[in-house]
Amino acid sequence: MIGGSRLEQLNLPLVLVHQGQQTLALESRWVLGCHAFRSSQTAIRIVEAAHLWSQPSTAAQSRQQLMALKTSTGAWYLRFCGEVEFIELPARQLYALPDLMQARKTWPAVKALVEYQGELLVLLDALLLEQQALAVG
Amino acid sequence: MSQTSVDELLALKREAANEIVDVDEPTVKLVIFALGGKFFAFRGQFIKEVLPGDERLFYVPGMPASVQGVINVRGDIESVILLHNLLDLPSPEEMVSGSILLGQASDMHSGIRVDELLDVVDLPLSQLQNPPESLPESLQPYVAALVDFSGKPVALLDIEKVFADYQEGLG
Repeated sequence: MIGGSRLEQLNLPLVLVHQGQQTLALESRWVLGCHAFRSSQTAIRIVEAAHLWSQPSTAAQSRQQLMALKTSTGAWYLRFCGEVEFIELPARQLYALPDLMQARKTWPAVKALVEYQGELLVLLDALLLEQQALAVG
Repeated sequence: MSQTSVDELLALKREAANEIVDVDEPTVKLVIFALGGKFFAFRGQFIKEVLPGDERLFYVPGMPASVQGVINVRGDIESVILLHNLLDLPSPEEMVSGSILLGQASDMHSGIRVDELLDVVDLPLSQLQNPPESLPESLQPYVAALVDFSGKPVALLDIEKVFADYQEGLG
């Protein structure tokens, strides 16, 4: 039970992206920062979240944000409508995706689940999200 | 008549008791349910638990339509799937909460939403009949036997085959 007791001491820092009824989580180690989007920010590599996952209809009512995500060579930017929240969860609140879902997922970036305030949220794989972003241009 | 001691008589009685043959037929426990207007069953040994259909379900994006989401069962996260596509049953016009069967076979496990839990019964093995050749093609790979339940045919599903094919992308 050494692993179990060590797990009890570990925490997982996360960034939550709230979009209406939908909340997605990213490991904070991949997030360089987040701020309100300004229309003048056109020179940098920006990918619309709507090209990566379906946006809840209520998301458009939220303000536009720009999140900088780390890559091996620099950063890419994700534009989305919603709010962000930085949290830290005990490792025991991290769950593997059930096997059948792992086998059947149609969105490769879906990596795991986290329990937060009584909800189960999807944790996205930032590297696979970046690959997806590269593919959509 | 020869005299026999009490001890000898008791020993004989014990011996006789041990020789009593169990004439009860072997039975099988079945969890019988309705799905898409038909009756199905799983062997009870593969159903860990039956949960109410209104168990709190969490939507997970990026899954096929047959994955309804996940539930938290006392700290264990279980997927909840629909078998309508796999068994070629009509999709429900409106979603009924029904029940969720927690199935486990080999290394695979998942919640399976059914329209209605009908019964959990112990039936003599002899009541299991081979599935007829007239069984719809879509059901043939999954139906291990047929049984009668209140005068209606119930298809006993092979849960290992169901899970294996589902995992491979069918349904």
